[in-house]
Amino acid sequence: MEAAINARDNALNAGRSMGEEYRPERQHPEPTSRVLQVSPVTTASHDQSSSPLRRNFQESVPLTSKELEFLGLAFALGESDPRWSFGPGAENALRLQRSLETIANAWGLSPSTLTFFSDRYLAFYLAIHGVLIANDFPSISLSTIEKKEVLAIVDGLPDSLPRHHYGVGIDGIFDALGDDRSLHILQIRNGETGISQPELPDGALILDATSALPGDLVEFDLASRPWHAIVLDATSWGGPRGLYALAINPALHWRNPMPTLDTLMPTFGANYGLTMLAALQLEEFLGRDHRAIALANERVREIVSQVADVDIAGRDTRDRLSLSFLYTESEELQRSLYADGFLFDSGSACSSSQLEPSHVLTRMGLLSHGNVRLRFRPENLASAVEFAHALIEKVEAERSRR
Amino acid sequence: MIEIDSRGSKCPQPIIDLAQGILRNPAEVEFRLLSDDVATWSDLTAWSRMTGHQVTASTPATFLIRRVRN
Repeated sequence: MEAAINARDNALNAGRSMGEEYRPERQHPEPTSRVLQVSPVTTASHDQSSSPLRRNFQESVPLTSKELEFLGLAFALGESDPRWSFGPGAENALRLQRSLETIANAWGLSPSTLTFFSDRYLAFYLAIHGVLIANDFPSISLSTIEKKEVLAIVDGLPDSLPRHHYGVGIDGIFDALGDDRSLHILQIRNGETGISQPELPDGALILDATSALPGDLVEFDLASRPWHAIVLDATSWGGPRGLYALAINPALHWRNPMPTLDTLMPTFGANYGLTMLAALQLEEFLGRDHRAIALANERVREIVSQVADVDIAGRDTRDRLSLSFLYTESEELQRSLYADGFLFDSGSACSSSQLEPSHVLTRMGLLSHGNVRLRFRPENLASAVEFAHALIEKVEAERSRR
Repeated sequence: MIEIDSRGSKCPQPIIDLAQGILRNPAEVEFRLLSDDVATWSDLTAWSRMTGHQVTASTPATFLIRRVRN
């Protein structure tokens, strides 16, 4: 942050106004990022051998120093309204447009269909209510593992609108896809287990892609499907928390359900700097060696399968892996592996911060205690095998104590 | 029928108590687990699938379990 403020001061001392582009003496190679073609910072470099993320398998990880520098600069150059990071002006409008294009292209969507928000609940609310007030559906179909926001919004709908809740099989095969005339609200990929939706129903769709990976939507050939709205979450590609995108299909009916003058599209409700950062991180995500990530996932599966009584969710779960070990306590596993420098998440109830087990694990029929949730990224791949061996050692040690 | 009382225990203890009770009574086929832990139902569902048992009946704090295979 200090560097960013110094940069701003230098710019101001040089007699530039806030709206003009600031070009410091460049000490780095030319940026390869399309988003930052006009920016003074380069994309984050990830030195995997010394990265603090080397043993971190958690879903959410700290920003890299380059990302922090970017955000610091964004806020330092912004106006008093923090949404206007980098300040208003043509240069920033261009940066924002490039960011939108980067994000939209990665998801196979048109940039003009996307609007950004800082509130996930709001994005889902606008998606569901906006579709329902502009169309006449006889019922809603949704799975039991949808996000809690989605379940709450649907719970709040009039009782006269029937709902069909379909279950989810252990291998990720949704066991029914509802009535074709229904409005289907579907999770494309589950964020806790990494399990993906293998097929789409023929009916109208609202797609929850908040845990999906770029490429997931492309596989479904969206152009030929009646999708009404899609919700994205920047954390799905390693982007910042608190940035959600709502895509609305202009070819179908949607009406803004909020009391607003803008009845067609909600206004941009997110921070510009965060949106640009998300686009930067998406570029980094797309450049990852996804085959190496899939191989690491498979290798960890093989190693942990050597211990008895392990419940592994799904098969092709890309960069996520959910494992549950019978007769173990996830909090104890987290504690003992943390002592070895490893970090991971858990969906178990057996931790002091949670009273109930993950509703996803419960509804999928997966073991909810002894749960270990991993997310693979380039920085932690080299530690994946070491982690798997350490994990089974701790599992066996804990079982032998009981 | 063997009764296993795990009331007051938090997960994974009720499942461990059940597994140990079954191990101690290899000839028994039916077991009753008493547990007031909110996670027991979901754990039992997965445990039954993984270990060859069946939950034949349940109330909020009582679960009847049947051994399907050894």
